[in-house]
Amino acid sequence: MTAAAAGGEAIAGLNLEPMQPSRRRLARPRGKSLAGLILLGVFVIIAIVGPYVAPYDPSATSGAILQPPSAAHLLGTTQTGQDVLSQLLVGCRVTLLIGVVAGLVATSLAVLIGVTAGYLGGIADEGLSALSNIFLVLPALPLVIVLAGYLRGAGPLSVAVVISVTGWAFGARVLRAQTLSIRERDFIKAARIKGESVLRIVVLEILPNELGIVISALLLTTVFAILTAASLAFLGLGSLSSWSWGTMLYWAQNAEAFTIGAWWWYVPPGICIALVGTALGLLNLAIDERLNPRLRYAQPASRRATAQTGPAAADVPALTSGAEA
Amino acid sequence: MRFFARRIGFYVVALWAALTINFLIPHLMPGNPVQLLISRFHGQLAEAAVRGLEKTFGLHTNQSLVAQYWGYLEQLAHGNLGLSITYFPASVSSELRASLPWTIGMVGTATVVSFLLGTLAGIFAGWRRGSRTVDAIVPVSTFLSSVPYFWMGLLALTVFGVSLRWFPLAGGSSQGIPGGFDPAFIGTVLYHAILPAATIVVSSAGGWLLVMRNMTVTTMSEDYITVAVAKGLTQRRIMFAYAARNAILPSLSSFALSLGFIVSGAIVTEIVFSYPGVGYILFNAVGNDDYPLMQGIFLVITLAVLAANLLADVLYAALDPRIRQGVTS
Amino acid sequence: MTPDGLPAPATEARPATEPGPVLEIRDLWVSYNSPAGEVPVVRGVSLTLGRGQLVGLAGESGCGKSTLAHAAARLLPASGHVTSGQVLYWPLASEAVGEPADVLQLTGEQLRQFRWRSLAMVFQSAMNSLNPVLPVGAQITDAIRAHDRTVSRKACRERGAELLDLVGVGAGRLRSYPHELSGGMRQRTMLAMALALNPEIVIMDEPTTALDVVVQREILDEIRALQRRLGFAVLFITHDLSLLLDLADRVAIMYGGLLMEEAPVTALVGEPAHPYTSALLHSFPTVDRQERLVSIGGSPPAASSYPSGCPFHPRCPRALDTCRTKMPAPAVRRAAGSVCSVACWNPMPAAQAVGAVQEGEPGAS
Repeated sequence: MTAAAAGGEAIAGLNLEPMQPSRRRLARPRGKSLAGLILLGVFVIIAIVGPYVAPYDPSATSGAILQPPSAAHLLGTTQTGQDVLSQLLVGCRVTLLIGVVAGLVATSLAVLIGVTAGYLGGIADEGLSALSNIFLVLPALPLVIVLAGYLRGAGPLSVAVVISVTGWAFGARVLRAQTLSIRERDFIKAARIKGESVLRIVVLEILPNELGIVISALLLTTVFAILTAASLAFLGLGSLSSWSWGTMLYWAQNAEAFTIGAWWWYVPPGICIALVGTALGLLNLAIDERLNPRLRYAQPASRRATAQTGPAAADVPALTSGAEA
Repeated sequence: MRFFARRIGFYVVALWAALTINFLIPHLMPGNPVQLLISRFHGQLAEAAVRGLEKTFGLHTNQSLVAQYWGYLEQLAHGNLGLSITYFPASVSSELRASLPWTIGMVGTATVVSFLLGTLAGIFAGWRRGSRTVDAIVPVSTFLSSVPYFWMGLLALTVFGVSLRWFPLAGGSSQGIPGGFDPAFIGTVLYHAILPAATIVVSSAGGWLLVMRNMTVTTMSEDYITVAVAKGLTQRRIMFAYAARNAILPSLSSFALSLGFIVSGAIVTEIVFSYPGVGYILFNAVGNDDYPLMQGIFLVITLAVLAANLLADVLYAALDPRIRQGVTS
Repeated sequence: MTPDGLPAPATEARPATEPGPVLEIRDLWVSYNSPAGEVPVVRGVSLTLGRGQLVGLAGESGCGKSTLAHAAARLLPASGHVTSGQVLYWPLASEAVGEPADVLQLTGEQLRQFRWRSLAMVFQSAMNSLNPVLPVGAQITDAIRAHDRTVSRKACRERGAELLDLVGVGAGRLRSYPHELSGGMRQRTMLAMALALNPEIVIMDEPTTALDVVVQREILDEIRALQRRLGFAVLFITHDLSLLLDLADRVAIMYGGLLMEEAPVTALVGEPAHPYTSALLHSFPTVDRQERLVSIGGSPPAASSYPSGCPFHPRCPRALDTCRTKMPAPAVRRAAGSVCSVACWNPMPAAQAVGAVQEGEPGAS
């Protein structure tokens, strides 16, 4: 869309200033990225070891129906006596898996289509852009619902694929815009004159400079995928045969857990989804800050107030002291 | 003018694509939906009904795909979306006509409120950057926008509906009060809409906030802001006419694009609150294998999203003179 | 006060022929925050701008000239702050009374009124300096109404038209958007905007750097003509010393955060006292001289790693041992019937001034 390209695209979290060619600094993790990494790490570990450390088989029913948290069941039990904690631990794997697979597939599609469109230009560009714009504009969930409705009973991987089909267009558009602007930079022109093959240029020169956006797109798409998959499962459209957090919520809703106040059943899965999303979101923000130096430091208010020996504090916007009216 | 011509052209193409996808889906999916339906009704469907269904799907087995496609388009041109199975013999269009106003009213308002709230808060968060309390809003927003809509809704329902009994648990209006433009009806409509609308606002405002904040921060480092300060303009003037007016442009374009995502969240919210909108009947349709209804809804939603996109484009062009004049760069 | 404990130079009273000061920067120190800590970028610079004068400030990239201007205009970004010094402003009205105001101490409404009315600024890249979504007329109107809300919009438009005519853009462009104007026109528009409130001081930060040579010439002539006509003082910042030779009344040279030399332009060209100035003068061709161009070996230091002592010593052909350890303090001298200053432990002997006609008294060393 020319509109966005002219006005400069700044979609939440997606940074658009490519790094200088061949300047890659190893960042020391600080604040946001550290929190995000740790949080994500916790869940990744759970995803890996979950099924092994779960105290019970998540599908095993028992007589202890709708028990609040206790020593035997740390997160209580469901309406059929299943252990909530075990479901949570085991379900982590499928939830994350769907998210990651959908994220990877969607992002790969985005890179393929977006970079190609941006680099080739001309008719190929027009066609591919039209394609991504159409997919972008079509509302995702209704389409996914319809598709999933037909694909009832399919496994989690099918769900992931369906989600990818609706989620790639976003990143593709951003990557296209970025590729268009990088293409005109001198070092690319130099490479072309040198006679480097298109594949080499794209893979070795262009992509490394778009790494930030690609990673950002990957993170955001993964969040999108996890939320969409959870929604689908909740609606009874996901694969109900395997345990995921969305599935837990489906069964909880089915058993009217919300109305009878069985909070131990529905609160943990929801919070876990939110935490994983937050972790990815924080990482995304951290990358954004790293690549867009303008987002980095403002002088913290406390320092501004006390640091001055005589002359008044800094004057340009966002810093309050000085011109007010 | 050229700008609008191009945009409208694009939307026409997108609409066509949606129609075609809608047509192709039943043809591409495994199984014959008509057979499915017939077996569901245990062969009790009248001949006319079966013909009608076949027509809806364009599934005349003795016609070529292209002919079926034309038949399908013809049906659409007459506003015939087929018959709903869940609400048989009501037509899909009548079901849509009944539920659409609810959705537009509640979801539409909630979305606009969320956008305004989030964007204003985002401007503020970007402007007052550097103070710890203001910066804390960023991780909070990240968290809130990661919470699944339906979970938020269920929580709200449980806390405010079940425990505190402040709000009703389901429906768009109270049973006993008939429809009409009288205060009683309007009152009960609002009463029922508050919780679902609030859920949508809380879940989605965070996203707008983050976009706007980032853009505001980036815009503030532009030279023309420094010049504005140098000119001695008031903070308010700088913030709105110089910073926000430039910073909001990408927000607008991304508003249009993320409309699809908003619609998804809205659907789920309606389901959670049993709110009689388009999302709710979609859910029922899915549960009943009501393919005509499902696809009718998909079409209508797509139309709405395209229209909203067009609106956003108009707004964008109104605000940015470079777009009006088709300038690139 | 220099770090060596020497007193900062007192500004001598100027001779009667010179105009009184309108802006005086006294011993200004400006630092930026960086991940590595606080970095001083301007280190004790004193500079005076006389009423109606055009003073050029020249130096290589990174010498701190832009920072100096922004600090004086109270436009430092979030990461910069003034650590010590004063910026004194003598409004015309108070000349009789003789009470200057310290710009750095102004707050709130005072500061806002000071901006643009007393001191306006013209920036380098006009494309980015103009708000892309407002017509240029509106941006001029903004400036006017920000200071006096009672002025009617019609009057603002008329003033805008008048200003645009004045700078040669034409009143018909009032409704144009920045992207509809050429580079030269944008810069003239910035000029028009700067003059909207008849300021006493206009700081121009590399106003012609982004333009081609022909347009550059036009704009410079325009500036000179406007200045003579309206009588405002100009601080003209550039990295291209050659521009100043025709344009400026006085020239100041900065390097490594210090003011190396300041003198009337004829004295500076005729008998540069600082080795850096001399080297600069030899690095660009002029019509009257035929000689080999000599570039200065090495490159200017980054603010985060200024050399100890005199920042120029690694590249200076006249460096002494003192130069490596002690920052030079500006010393006052007289040339061309005026007060000048040079900060050097080993300034050029007057006899070595190259080419130009000897004018005025020989510099004291």
